[in-house]
Amino acid sequence: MLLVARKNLFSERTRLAISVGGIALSVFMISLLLSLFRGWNEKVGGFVEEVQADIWIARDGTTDFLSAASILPLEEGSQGLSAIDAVDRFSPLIVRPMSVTKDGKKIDVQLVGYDPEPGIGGPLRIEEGKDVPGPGEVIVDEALSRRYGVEVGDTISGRAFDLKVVGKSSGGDFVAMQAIFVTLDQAQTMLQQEGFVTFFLLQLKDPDRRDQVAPILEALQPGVLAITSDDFAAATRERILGPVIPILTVILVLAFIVGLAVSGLTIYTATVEKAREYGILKAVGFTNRYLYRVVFEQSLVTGVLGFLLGVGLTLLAGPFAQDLVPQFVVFVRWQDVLGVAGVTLLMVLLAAYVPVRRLAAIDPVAVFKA
Amino acid sequence: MPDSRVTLRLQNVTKVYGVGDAAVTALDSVDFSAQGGEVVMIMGPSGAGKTTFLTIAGALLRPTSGTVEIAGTDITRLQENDLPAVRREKVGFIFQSFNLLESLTALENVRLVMTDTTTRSATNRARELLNMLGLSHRLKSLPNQLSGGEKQRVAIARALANNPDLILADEPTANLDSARGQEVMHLLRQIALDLGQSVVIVSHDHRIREVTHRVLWLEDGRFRADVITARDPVCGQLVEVEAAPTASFNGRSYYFCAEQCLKLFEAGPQRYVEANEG
Ligand SMILES: Nc1ncnc2c1ncn2[C@@H]1O[C@H](COP(=O)(O)OP(=O)(O)OP(=O)(O)O)[C@@H](O)[C@H]1O
Ligand SMILES: [Mg+2]
Repeated sequence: MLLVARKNLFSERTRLAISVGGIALSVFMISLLLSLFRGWNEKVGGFVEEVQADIWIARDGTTDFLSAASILPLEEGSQGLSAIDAVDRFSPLIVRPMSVTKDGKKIDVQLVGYDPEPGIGGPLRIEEGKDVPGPGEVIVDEALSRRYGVEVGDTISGRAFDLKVVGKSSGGDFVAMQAIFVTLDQAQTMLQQEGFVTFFLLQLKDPDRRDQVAPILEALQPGVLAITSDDFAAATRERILGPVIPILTVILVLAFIVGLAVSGLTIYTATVEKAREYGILKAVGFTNRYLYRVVFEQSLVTGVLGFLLGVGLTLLAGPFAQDLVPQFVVFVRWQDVLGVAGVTLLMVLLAAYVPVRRLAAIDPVAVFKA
Repeated sequence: MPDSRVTLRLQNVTKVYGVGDAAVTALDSVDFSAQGGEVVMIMGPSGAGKTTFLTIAGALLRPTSGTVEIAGTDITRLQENDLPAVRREKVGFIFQSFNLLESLTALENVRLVMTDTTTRSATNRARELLNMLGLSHRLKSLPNQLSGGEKQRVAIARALANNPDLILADEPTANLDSARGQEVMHLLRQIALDLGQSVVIVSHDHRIREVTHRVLWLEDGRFRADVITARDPVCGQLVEVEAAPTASFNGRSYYFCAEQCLKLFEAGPQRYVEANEG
């Protein structure tokens, strides 16, 4: 760093604190919102992605996993799928967003009824208690347990049923609700929908051919949607988070403008205040390019400090915030951190642009005036 | 003593500010040259074009016409981009208001301008220069912790940083009391003698005369050879011989700024003649 840049920057501590603070605030907001978005994205689509299925079968027109608006006949579907050679194994699944109560308190859940044999679509990872629910039993996601204090041994109820919590699993947190797992039979009874399921999950003999197999399945059975896990996860994310993106973008742009305005103003006033000194430097033989570098370096260092502070705050505040607000699922990806670094760089380059243009106009002859 | 190297040469230099009715001719076909080791003083009334002369001589301002050579380089033929390097390497500037960078220490102010890229040798040379100017105990001081005389000495050290051929000083003593001003002038003269630099000083300060080799009178943008100046032995002010009240003593003529000084002189010439010419 050039001597003049360093001295100018660090001799004005208050101003430095303001500009670093402004950038840090902006970086903090941007990276936090971005991480929050990533966190939600991860949660919302994560279950569908991780389930050991190559293809999901649903009723035509089904949009996503969470609204789970699909009805398929169990017998007919099972027979049809058994006849298809490319299918190795399949399992029916009942999914339904609903609310249950615990000690009179309402809890939103994503009910999943699965067939323990072969077990596709069941809890992803067991964290505590039984790994398969029996009749009248339920395994709940640990996020639900954390949020509502539902523990193994508790009972959660609907108007016509009681379920005893026998285990906890992870991987079924969708932010707005969490998965609870019962057997397929239990779900059919509870929902009074004997003979009907929501999805069929398929494992193919050759998983690499899932993209080719899906359209074939759709052709075989009109009125049915066959979609790969990845596509279904993406559709679910799009359905839930899609509407948030424009709003998020606006807030990110505003955060950027805040950072740009604060750093731009402080750098500008710092440059204007030192205009005479820049004139002196010109008079004694420093080039315009040198002066530009002096201002850019100050701007850049301010940006680096603001970035480190902002990202540091995000990393610190993330887990802390999640304890206070469960919906605050923050997922910091290094790609995003790199992106935010790029954004910060852009911010400080823009912030330095106007002051730098002013430098060119400074007349060194003026320093001969007393 | 001055050597034969010509460090600064202006030929037929004219500078006109503005255009049309607003045009001001600040320099009018000026010729000038200075040799190594020479201290030249330029005097003249306000608005005479002195600062304009210095800024043109220092490659800060382009003349409207004419040529300017600094240490053999015709700077009027150089591109704008090449002028900063000329100023930095061949010219040292000393200003009336010192013009140090406020957030840099004395040492850093000097070191900063050095073209020597290795920090250590630049620092060493800066320290040597400041030591030479009697500031060895002030290296780490910021300008606002220094007295005017100290600041100007730092500025001189900065002007000498790259061992330039030419030192240009605009009213270097105007912001100093007379003792400090005297000190600074003697330093400049010593530097010219020791280092062979040309020093061109613009000043109203008559006391500076003593240390200069030549005094030129600039008026209305021209050097006037016909103006012969003399120092008022009473108040010390420089006066134009032509228009001044005069008196003789011991076969010599003395010139005065005004009748008051003349009267004081006539009341006891001995005092003034001895005091000044010892
Ligand atoms: N940038 C400028 N634009 C227009 N006119 C100028 C400019 N600079 C100087 N002048 C004019 O040129 C003339 C010479 O100015 P200059 O500053 O060289 O005088 P000076 O001898 O240094 O005066 P002083 O003793 O007051 O410093 C003056 O009439 C001044 O008004
Ligand atoms: Mg002037």
